[in-house]
Amino acid sequence: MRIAGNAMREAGIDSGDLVLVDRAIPPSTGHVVIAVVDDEFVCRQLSRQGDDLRLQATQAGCADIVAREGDAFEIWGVVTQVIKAMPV
Amino acid sequence: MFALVDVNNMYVSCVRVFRPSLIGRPVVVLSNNDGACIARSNEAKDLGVKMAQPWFQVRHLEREAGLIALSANFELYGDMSSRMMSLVGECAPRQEVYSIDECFLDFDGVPGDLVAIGREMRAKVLRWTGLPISVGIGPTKTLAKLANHVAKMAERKPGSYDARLAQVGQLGHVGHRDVQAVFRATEVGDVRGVGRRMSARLNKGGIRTVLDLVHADVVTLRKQFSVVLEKTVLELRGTVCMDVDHEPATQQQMMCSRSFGAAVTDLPELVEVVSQFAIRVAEKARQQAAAAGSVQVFITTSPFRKNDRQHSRSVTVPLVRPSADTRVIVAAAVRAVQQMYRAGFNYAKAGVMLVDLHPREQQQGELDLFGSSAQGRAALGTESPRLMEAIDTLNRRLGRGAVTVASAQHQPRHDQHAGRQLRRSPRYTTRLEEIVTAKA
Repeated sequence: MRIAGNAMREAGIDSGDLVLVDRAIPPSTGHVVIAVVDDEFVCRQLSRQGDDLRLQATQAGCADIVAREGDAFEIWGVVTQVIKAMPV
Repeated sequence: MFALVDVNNMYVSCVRVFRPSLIGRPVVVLSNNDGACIARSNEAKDLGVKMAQPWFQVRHLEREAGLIALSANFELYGDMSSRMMSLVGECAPRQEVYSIDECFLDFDGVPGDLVAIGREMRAKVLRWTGLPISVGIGPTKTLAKLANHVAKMAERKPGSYDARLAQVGQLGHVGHRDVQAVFRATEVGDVRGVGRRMSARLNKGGIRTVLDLVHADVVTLRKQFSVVLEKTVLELRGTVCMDVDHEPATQQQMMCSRSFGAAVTDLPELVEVVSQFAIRVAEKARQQAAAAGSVQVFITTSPFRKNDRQHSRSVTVPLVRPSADTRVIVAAAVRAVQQMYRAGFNYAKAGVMLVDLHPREQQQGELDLFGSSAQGRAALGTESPRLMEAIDTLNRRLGRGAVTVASAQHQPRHDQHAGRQLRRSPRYTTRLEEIVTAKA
């Protein structure tokens, strides 16, 4: 997938980067994942606080996306590699 | 025991993996020139859209019911199909790929609870590929196919069958009360191999449900109908008449594939075998008066040769208009092979599949329409039903392969294969410039 946006910059993912997504890996906390939120693909880090699963951005200022009952998000796959373009 | 595995509403499901907003909404996929509905989501089926219904007849549902129409995207379906097939193929000792979205598995010699294996397989395919499959298990292929139908209906229409049969259904012991209940609740027309006309005739003779059919006298059925129906009934009673690989061609796809005697490593040789498969399958299409909208080709190394490096790919080439012309099919197949081939691999198997099949009469009408323009006449120059007829006659008389094409030399211009597709979804998995974007 291609990434648009800078919310995951601290994880080494910049806007325009390509990421490899592996659906065969069971997602767990700490993974950078692709989730489906409101029918759109979103790249975030998966974390857990108490009973809540959260999608966290690495940049300050981005609110966490919290999965609660009846309002769950789907984890589509786990990001395993990042490919960056070099200026040429 | 056999299993029939297929993808629920394959073409729609493939797109939904990459476009979640389509989940839960009525979606149809239109044929190559956007003429007819060739796939429908359950929601579209519930709106009353029929298989192969012309688009203009249901177009009004776009505004009235939010129906979404997409053009066919065989490159995407072909790639998703090979992902699904390779996962499913790992679950049983033998696999017969029957069409782009279904395969038979032969579980002969596999111990354990097959329903549990089926549920695991379903969960894995859903997790790894995003495609929802249905699994039907039975002691014969006909029963496996029926179990698959039941598994789908039990999921789609709760109450139609025992809920325990949903998604993964087994019709194990034919004498069992549960199986008899399924037979009683199923019309003969839902049995594989019983067409609409035959079921009308059966109904007239008082045979309405599968239970009626199972209890009918096979000798009478053979006399009044065919040996095929007799075999079908025997299979419904649990007697194996059709083994894996013994298949009449389906109406929707035609396939010619084989493992090579010896590994093939260089491109010209690979082009030659794939051309032969393409010639065979084009011939098959002409015999059944069908024309293909797309040509799908796969090549693969042998997973059993553990020391070999593995490479396996599949590519789908859409045709400008449906064709059964050997030269058109071969050219498309050769192009696909040249695109997929990588040096240094021991290829062990290849196949050519014609997908998006149309009856030839329908195609004639479109040809005449095109024939009125100069552009149409120029395109017609590449197509020659009479030449094909002559070749088929010669090959029947002189033996297969007497007249053939010098395949490697036949390279059509790229634009001939572009296809007319106005609502095509991106080729998410095979074109880097068409992959999905995720927000961060």
